[in-house]
Amino acid sequence: MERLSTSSTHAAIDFEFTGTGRDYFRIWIVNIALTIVTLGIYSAWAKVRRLQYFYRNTRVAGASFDYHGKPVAILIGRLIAAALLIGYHVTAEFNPILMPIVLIPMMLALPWMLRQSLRFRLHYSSWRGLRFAFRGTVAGAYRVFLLWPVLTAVSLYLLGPMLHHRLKRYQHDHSFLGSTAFSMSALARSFYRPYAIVFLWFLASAVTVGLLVVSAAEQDDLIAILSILPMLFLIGFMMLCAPYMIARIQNLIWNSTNLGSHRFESRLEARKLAWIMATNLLLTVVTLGLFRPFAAVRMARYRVSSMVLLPGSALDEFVATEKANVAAMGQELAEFLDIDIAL
Amino acid sequence: MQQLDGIYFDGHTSVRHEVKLMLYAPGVVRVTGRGVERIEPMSQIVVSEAMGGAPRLFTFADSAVCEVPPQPGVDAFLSAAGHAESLMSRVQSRWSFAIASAVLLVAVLIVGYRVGLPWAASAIAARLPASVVTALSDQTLQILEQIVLEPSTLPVERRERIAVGFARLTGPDEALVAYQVLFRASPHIGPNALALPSGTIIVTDELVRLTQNDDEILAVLAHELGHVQERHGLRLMVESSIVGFVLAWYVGEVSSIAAGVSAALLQAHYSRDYERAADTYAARLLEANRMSPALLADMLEKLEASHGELATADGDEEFSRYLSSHPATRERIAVLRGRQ
Repeated sequence: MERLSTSSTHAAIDFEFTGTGRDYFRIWIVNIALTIVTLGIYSAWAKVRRLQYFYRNTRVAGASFDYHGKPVAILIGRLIAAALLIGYHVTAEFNPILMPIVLIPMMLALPWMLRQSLRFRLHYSSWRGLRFAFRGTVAGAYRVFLLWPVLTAVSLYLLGPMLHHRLKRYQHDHSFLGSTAFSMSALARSFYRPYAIVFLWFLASAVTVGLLVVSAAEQDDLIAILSILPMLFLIGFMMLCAPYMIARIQNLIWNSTNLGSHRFESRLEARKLAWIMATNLLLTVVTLGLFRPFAAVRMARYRVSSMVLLPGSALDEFVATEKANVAAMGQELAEFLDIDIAL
Repeated sequence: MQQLDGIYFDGHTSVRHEVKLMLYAPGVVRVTGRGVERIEPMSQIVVSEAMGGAPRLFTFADSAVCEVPPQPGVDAFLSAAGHAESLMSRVQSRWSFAIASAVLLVAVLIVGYRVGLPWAASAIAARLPASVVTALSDQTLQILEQIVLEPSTLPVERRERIAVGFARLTGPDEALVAYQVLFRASPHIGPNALALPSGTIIVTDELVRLTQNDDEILAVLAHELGHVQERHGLRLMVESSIVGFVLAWYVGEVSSIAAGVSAALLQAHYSRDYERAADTYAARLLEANRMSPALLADMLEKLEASHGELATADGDEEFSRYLSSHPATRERIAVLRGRQ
């Protein structure tokens, strides 16, 4: 009983990222060359090596993370995903009437796939020799990935932040390290604030661009209207809003997430994130993409090093559970369909 | 005896054990520390690849794991223990391989772009079922009709004269592919002709009005028929899909706009090749029918002149100068005239 009251004596522990752009560049360039030479088959191995590099260079409390995904499972998932995607595009191109027959089963399968994706990702991640796990129910997946999106659309996106909250709660409340559960206590209403601010920004900048377009139209400057202005608008909007949202949401989620008696702190700053994203984009374009591995490492270093672990007791008390294999298919499908649930 | 510092986890709990790793016997490793004492042959241990500054992970059969942070002597220890680094592990640790990969990548991309892609495109284009080709072309035609094409205002006699004249042409080596000639007015496109993969050839009134000599129109139609015969439209479509896919994958999240622009630039190279191939086909078709390939050259000159006039009328002189001295078209004209 004494230990409980001394929880504040456990010092905060910073997460650290030990990777470097130079090291990752070598892995990255080999990955790309082999992926092209093997017509994409190597991409599954490339993915495993990329994730291993980032996981193993992420450390907290004297131990690094590790990724255990199996390339062959990922490859099979990718092949199935590619086949489905080609089928989808061929149908869309040549037989649009048949679209519902293809689309509706896909939509219905999507929540299941996203749940698989979460399961795969966590099951094949470890820290201190213990695997993570995701145990969200199928019913829960259909609620957050199907019911809530439909409600959000019906509400004209007024329920958008609510959906985001339910999604993160589904994710964090059903994640485990060994047999110890994560939980998230953030309230739905705290998700509304960042969304409201981004919406106001959007409104303000859209009005500005609208005025510019109108004034350009009066001078008959058609090319400017058609291409440059909306593009600038989009880039500027992304440059400001993406980092703001990432920082706010990551902080919000992790500052209210527990792992057993342990807590986390996330101190991302939108301004620093915006600087990193803007310079990364610029240098990547200027170097025809060669800066990309350096950009990825820079980003990972900042995001990881802004995290702090606040132990509530000794970190030696996590224990493993029985192991189970999880199929890679869902994750690859979700990735191919371009769905990112990382935010 | 050399030894390494490591951190051992038993795979059941998160308890952290600081341990020493040492060679117990040839090919046998001993892990020892407070509460840990294991002696295992290397054959029972999976050692993770070298990845820059990341720790090496020694994973045991019972899923216990020992993290070995970067320290002097890791490589020597591993080779003394009889561990052979995997090929990828060695490849990823050396700059020579990184540079070789970059060179290989560039070489593969160049060869693929110059040789592989055109070959793949013509192979795929040749195997596309006729129903698909027709569906694609009909869709394109429908869109064109809605946006830029209007009914022709040319005298019916002239249209018929051209159509009949073209129908009389016989192929240089084999039967001509099925085709259909459509006359359409199009102030948007201006003087131009285009071929859809299904064999539908669209000629604008503006182009027909550029000349009084119907044979010159036949020469243009012959050029367009060349595109159909050699399936250029389909090949271009396949090529742009592949180029777009590879670019999108490489450029990734950086910018989809950049991917689009670079795809269009890479595309220009192929379309120039196709223009030349269609010229050659037209010249052979014309010659087979005792007509001069110079007819097409005359028409190209008229087209260029009209584009120049249009541009000048717009007050854009820089643009018109660029067009009228466009080397690709001048070259095409010279080649056609040189055939005589």
